[in-house]
Amino acid sequence: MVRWRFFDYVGTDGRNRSAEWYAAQGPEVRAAFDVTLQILRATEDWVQPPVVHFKNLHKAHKGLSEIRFYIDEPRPGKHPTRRRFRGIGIHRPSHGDFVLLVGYEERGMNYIPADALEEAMRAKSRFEQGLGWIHERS
Amino acid sequence: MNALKELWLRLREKRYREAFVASQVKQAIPYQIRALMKAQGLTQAQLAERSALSQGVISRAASPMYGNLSLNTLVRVAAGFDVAFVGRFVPFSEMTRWLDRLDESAHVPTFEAEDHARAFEGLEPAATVTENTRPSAKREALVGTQQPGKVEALFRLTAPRLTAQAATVHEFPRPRVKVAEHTSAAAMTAVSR
Repeated sequence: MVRWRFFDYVGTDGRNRSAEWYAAQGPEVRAAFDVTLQILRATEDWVQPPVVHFKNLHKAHKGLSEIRFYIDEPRPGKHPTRRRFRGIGIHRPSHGDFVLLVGYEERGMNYIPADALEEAMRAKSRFEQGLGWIHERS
Repeated sequence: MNALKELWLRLREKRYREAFVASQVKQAIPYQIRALMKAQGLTQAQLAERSALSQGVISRAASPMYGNLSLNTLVRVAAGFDVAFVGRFVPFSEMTRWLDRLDESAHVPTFEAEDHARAFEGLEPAATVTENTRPSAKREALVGTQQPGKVEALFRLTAPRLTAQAATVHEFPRPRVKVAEHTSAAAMTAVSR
């Protein structure tokens, strides 16, 4: 069976933005992200039938894909709050891998960090020009 | 460092490991449901019918975004697949190895498939009892003879809905067996030969 591999993109400045984003998250977010990658790693086809963890982006962000996951944050005496997160990157079925560029949280129409998608487009462009390198996530 | 060791280091943080277990349960169960549907060639509607659940419930059960599966739903879904479901407490090392070996194509045979594969040495496989499993349906059985690849129906017992076409056909070790014998309205006993 296919075992997908996940890589972080490291820019020419040496920055690994997806690893930085991951390290800045709380343990709940990191754990949910790690489990999501484990599930995707063992899922042969992410597109047909569609896997809810995964989405190809279109229009201005064509060429990018996102890995979607969430956490349910408990609130005493109330329903938990669902927080939605995305890992943006380049899905390469021919390589059997996904190159993570940046991560962000989606709150309604707002992204945290706000320029996550623009940064992902810039990183994608650099990656496609052969600038920087990739580092496998464990 | 390999992935399992890396994960183990992260699990040393208690909040991380608590969250990891929660996320693993919420995502790995729907993953298995989707994998089993694929392996058994079932649509959501077909699994819903076999599980005596609505298609909406199946849709939610198979979605990792739902995250609020009930035990009642889980046992119904297991019944729909005709497999067992074991929810048990395990050490973290076992969980991480299991997750690492997660495989969409891992085969989970149904009870009947196991029975016919002689799950326990010395036990003859039972003949097939074909019944409508919807709780609201009348209990019913198909009585007939069975050959590899086809069922030859002799008669139906209180069977307004059951047809020979609905019968499950298995490769039996013997050429002909009596399919089922009706004993009471509430229970049926399968007999071989």
